Amino acid sequence: MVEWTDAERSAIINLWGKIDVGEIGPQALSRLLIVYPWGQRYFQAFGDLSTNAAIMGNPKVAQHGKTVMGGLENAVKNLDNITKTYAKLSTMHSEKLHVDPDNFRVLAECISLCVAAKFGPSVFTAEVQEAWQKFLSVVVSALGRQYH
Amino acid sequence: MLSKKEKDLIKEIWERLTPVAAEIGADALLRMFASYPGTKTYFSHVDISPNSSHLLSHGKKIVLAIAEGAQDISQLTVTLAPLQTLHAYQLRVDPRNFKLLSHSMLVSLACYLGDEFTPVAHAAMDKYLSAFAAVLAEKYR
Repeated sequence: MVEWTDAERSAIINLWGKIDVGEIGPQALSRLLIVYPWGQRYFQAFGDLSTNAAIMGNPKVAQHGKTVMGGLENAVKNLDNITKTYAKLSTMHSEKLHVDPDNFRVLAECISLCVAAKFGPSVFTAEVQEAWQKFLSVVVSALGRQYH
Repeated sequence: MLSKKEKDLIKEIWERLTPVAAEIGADALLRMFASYPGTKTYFSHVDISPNSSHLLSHGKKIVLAIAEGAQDISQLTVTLAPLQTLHAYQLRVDPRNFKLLSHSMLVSLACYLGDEFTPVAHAAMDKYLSAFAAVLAEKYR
C-alpha cells in the first residue's frame, strides 16, 4: 500500500485541479512520439506520423492523449487503491495491446515535462514535482502489474 | 544522433543559460534530491539545503560543464576527459544517477523556458544529455 503524506495528497489534488486534460494529454503523447519515435510502433493505425508537424496536428493522437490523460482522474480519485483501479487496464495493455511497460514510464516523464512547461517553477516546485512524480510512478507500476 | 540544427539549438540554449548557471543548476539538483532521495547520499558531507552556497556553486559547476560540452558536441570525449577521470576514480557516482539528474535538468529547463521548451528542443536536449552522461561514464569500466 502506498503511503501518502497529507502534503503529497493535497499537492496531487491541487495540481490535478489545474490541469486541462484536453491540453496536456495531446501535448504529452505528441512529445512521446517525437522524442521517442520508436513509440510510434503502437500507433500505426493513427495515420500520418511522418513529421513533427504531422504528429502535433494528428487528431487521433490528440484524442488518444486526451483519453489517456483523462484516465488519470480515476487514480486521483482512488489514491489509496491505484493498483486495483488499473488492474483491468493493465491486463488489456499486456494481453491485447502488447505495449512494452517501459513506455508508461516514458509517457509519465513527458507528462511531467508538459506540466512543468505549462505551470512554471512557482507552481511546479520541487515538492510538488516529488508528489506528482510519485503519483505517476504508482500509476505506471499499476499499469505494469498484470504483465506476466 | 544529433542533426546540425539540433546541435546549433542546444549550443544556443546553453549559451543563453550560462549567466543563470547557478540558479538553473541548483534548481535541478534540488528537484533531483526531492524526487530521488537516494541521490542525497553523495552529498552527506555538505549542506545542500535550498540557497546554500554549496548547492549554488555545485549547480553552477554542473551547468557550466554541460554548456561547455555544448560548444562542440563532436568533441565531447575530449572536453569531458578530466571529468570522466574524476567521476570514475574519485567520485564513483553510480551512473544510473546521471539519468535522474538529466530528467531533473529537463524539468528545470521546461520550467524556465516554458513555451520555448518545444518538442524539438526537448528531443535535442534529451539526446544531448544522454550522450553527455554516456561519455561521462566511459572510464568507469
